[in-house]
Amino acid sequence: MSSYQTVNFVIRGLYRDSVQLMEVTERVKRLEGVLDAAVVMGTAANKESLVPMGLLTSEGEKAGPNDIIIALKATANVEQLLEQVKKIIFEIKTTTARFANIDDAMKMHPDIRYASISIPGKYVEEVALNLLQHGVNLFIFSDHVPIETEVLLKKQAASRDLLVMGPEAGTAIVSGIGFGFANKVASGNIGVVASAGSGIQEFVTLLDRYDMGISHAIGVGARDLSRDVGGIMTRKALQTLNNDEKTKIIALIAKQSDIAVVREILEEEKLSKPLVLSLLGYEEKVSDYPQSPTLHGLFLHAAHALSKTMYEKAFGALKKEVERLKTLVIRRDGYPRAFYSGGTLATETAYLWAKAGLKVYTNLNFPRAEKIDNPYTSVQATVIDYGSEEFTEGRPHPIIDPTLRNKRIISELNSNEASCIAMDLIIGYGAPDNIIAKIFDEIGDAIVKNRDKRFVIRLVGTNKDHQWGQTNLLDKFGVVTTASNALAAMFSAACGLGEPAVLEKLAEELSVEVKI
Amino acid sequence: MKIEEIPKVLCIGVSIFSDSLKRQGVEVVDVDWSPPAEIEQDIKDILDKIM
Repeated sequence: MSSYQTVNFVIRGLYRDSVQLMEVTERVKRLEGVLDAAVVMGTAANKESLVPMGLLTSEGEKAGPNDIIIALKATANVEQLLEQVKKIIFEIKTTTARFANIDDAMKMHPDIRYASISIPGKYVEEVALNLLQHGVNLFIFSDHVPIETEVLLKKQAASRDLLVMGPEAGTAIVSGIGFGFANKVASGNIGVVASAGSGIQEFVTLLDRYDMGISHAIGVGARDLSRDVGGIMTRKALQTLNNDEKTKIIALIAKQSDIAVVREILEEEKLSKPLVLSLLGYEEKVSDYPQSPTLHGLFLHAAHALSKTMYEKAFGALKKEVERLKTLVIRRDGYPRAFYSGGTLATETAYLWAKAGLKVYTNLNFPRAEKIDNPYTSVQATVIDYGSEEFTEGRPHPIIDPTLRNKRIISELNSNEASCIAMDLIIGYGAPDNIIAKIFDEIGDAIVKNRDKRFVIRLVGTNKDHQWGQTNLLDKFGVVTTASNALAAMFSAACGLGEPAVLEKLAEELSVEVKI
Repeated sequence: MKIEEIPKVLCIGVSIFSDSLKRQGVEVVDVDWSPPAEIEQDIKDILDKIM
């Protein structure tokens, strides 16, 4: 191998968001003479992530959070390379005509009623308050927004009869328009309110698969049902859907909630429409409304609320899936391992594995599982949420950039400890156009080399999503796919325990919740 | 509030979300954003002392 050098260049006071820098990094890696590269903002987390790659030098260490670090491992002339990299950085920025600030944009477009915000959390308050004053409903994807800011924004919005969807809202679909990570689904009469982004995607794609549709899906942000926020936007969204002409049934999806807050809301908000709810991983009933600890259970409740025919169709499909999956279970030593981009789906899997009798280790805050010391190292049956803060600070969400999770999956496939691997693959709006092809480009060889292990994927998407054409790769690589995440979790639990009957037992628990 | 059609959305932040809205036929009004310049802590300490 020819000799190379590792160098860092710092551009002070220049900002690009993590997705733009991911694009820059991909392009820089393809330049001639580049062995490895990373172009990132100089946050502490990003600098730390360069260390194991051998890409951080003393120059890069000095960079601050508002500076860009160009880290190169190269055989070519680095001065020339740097010029090319700078060119790429400036090209990325200047592709779209933009307004310099919100006031100018609102002056020119006073009819705007919705905004999407995805800037670093500590800067959200000023931007969001300004937009609320302009009478704009907000979708806020950003995390790390101080909780006091969230309360302030939501109170202001409620007093102005506006919605604040977020912060930490992964998904919303309003009047058929998807914000954040969303799917193209059928229009219908089920309205969704959720503090769980991937929970919305799982539920609405499951509905779509069995010919049911939604009116709107309002994401309220992961912390809305905490004691601090008190469900301000959950209340607002429930009332909005209760008054919405298209909505006939309301589905409420909640994770990591303060149960007392949920109880209060369900007692106090008087709804004239049927409501079904899922508190992820939580079994105790909190109201008289039909309730499920899983999203598949919620789906069955929703189908039941629609009609007996819909329920029978949904239940029949579940039974068929269980029969099919039972025949695919492989008995093998080792533990099941699950790596998720959607936190709600990871919670659902941790719940079902624990229910199946597995001792589960996870980076989620989930009372039925053990908290894992190091999220990069698996212990027995492990469920890891790659969308959690320790993996996403200063870098794109794994739905956009699957590299980190792919590396983990490859090493788990090649290890003796893993008997079965489960993952979600979220497609649709917000996910890259080539996401399925990119994932299989990276992990495909490892899957083929380890055919003795079951690899199960819940593909969260519909046949209307623009990446659907790539789904043939799943068959090509012999991956087991399931109609829901709950089924993927049940299947991986059955493989982990070497007992196909586990599938039936868990499915029974889903189905007995609904009685006709 | 009454939920109506959404013909136009203001976007501030990562381009992939703005592009997704455009793909859905929404008119997107992109607003540029950069973090405000941060004063180094030692300069801030000096300013605090003299002001």
